[in-house]
Amino acid sequence: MADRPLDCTECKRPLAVCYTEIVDNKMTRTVMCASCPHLEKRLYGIFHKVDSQKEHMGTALACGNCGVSLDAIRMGHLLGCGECYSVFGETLTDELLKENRISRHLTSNKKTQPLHIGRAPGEVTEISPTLKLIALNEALDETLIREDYEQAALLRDQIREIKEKADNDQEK
Amino acid sequence: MTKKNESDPLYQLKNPWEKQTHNVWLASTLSLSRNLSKFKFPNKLDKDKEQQIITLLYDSLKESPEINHPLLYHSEKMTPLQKEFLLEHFMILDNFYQAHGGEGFVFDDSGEFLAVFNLQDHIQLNMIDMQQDIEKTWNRLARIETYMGRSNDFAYHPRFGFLTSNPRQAGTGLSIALYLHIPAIIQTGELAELLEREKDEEVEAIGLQGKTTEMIGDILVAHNTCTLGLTEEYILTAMRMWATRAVVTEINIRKKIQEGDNEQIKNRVTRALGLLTHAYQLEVIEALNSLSLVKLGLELGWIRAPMGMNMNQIFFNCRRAHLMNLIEDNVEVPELPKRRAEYLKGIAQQLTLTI
Repeated sequence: MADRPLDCTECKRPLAVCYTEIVDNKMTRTVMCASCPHLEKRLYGIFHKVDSQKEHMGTALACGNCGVSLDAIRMGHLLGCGECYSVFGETLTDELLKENRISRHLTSNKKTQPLHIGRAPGEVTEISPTLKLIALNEALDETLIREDYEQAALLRDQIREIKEKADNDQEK
Repeated sequence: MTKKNESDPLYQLKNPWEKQTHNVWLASTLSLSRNLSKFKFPNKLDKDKEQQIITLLYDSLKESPEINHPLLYHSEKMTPLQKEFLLEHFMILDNFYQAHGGEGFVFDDSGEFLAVFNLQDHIQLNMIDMQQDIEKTWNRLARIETYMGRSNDFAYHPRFGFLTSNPRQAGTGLSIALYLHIPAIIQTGELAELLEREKDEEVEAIGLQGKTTEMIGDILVAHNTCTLGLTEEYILTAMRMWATRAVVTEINIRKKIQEGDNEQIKNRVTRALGLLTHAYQLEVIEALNSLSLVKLGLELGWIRAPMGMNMNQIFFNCRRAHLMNLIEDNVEVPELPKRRAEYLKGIAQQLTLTI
């Protein structure tokens, strides 16, 4: 695979674009992330880059506890400490929303409300084996809507098997 | 690569494949990430704090009633082969090669539990399940985490939940990967349809090497992409539903292949058996792809195997570190394709073609 541009060696974002350029019968191939400034420059020219630089002015913000900068986070680097979440909270939310990393099932205002709805520290929640039945029944409903009776029969067998096992366990 | 040490307990890890029974849903891995609130995350941690954290975490873990006879390994004292063996055994998709010093690995007698300290996060608790019981496995994992939480204060934010160095894993910190062997779906070209039908923004399907385009050994790895904005129960239910529908589809297509006497698939299966029986050298991808077809042939009754032969175990024994551990004498990496072919030839010669 072709190399990333030299300036991009620090970038931790996934490779998304393979850019091939043929000039005077000489072919160069470069791989880069989707938001690579090199890609922007090649596609839109130098002026776009200037605009984009203006847009990013004032991003010298850094975490006072660990020193991780906002630019580093935008490049996909790891956070350095728990404080980073307070310092860069807004940017992180925007990035996570952009990448679909926050469930679409969360209906509250994602910009202001808590994003976490799972367990809290120390909270003990055992998951009941019947959760399997819920999942299987939901899958069964969907297959029946699709009128896929062959799949439905197999799912019914699985549900019956789990119920029988649960009954046997109770008897014991 | 450094030679193995026969007496090393790491290579004696109990084989969880013994319990494996399912012919489509091969395994599931659950991983829970946590950080300690008092310390910076591992990538910004001072060297002198690393050992302190390992000691602190190991002390808070070793007495947990959920684990038996834990053993702690320090990364700086481990060989690359040991790290690779752990990676393969616990089917971890990240890699441990960046663990050069300051990281700790704890596993127990069960061969199903691995704690990794100071890699990307201070704590990564991993469980592997071979019985399609992700709910039970989650309960065990949560009990271990709760036990450790009694003596440690985890980094937590009311808005972002449990804090991780990669913000894409914050919230529940729970990552689940399901390993599904779906040769019938892939060989009949039905994969795109399955992926389209089961399209879910919160579940991604990839191959063993993390690419969406290459399904090595016809194994599809379904994993959750969201850890934030969901409860743990929801993630488990969504993953189970995804796996259930894929399993049912695979079984249906297998039936259709059998009933329809599909000559193209028969040809592929018999050629794969031929390759395993006669190849002089086999690279891992080629071996896994051939084994997958032979496994399909066994399921469809086109190939007969001796009683007790565990094809799933053979499947995963082909990988580099496990194969090096299996081979009695010490073997160098360049020799491995030849030794892999010899190992698989021994297995293939026990199989009988019935068509």
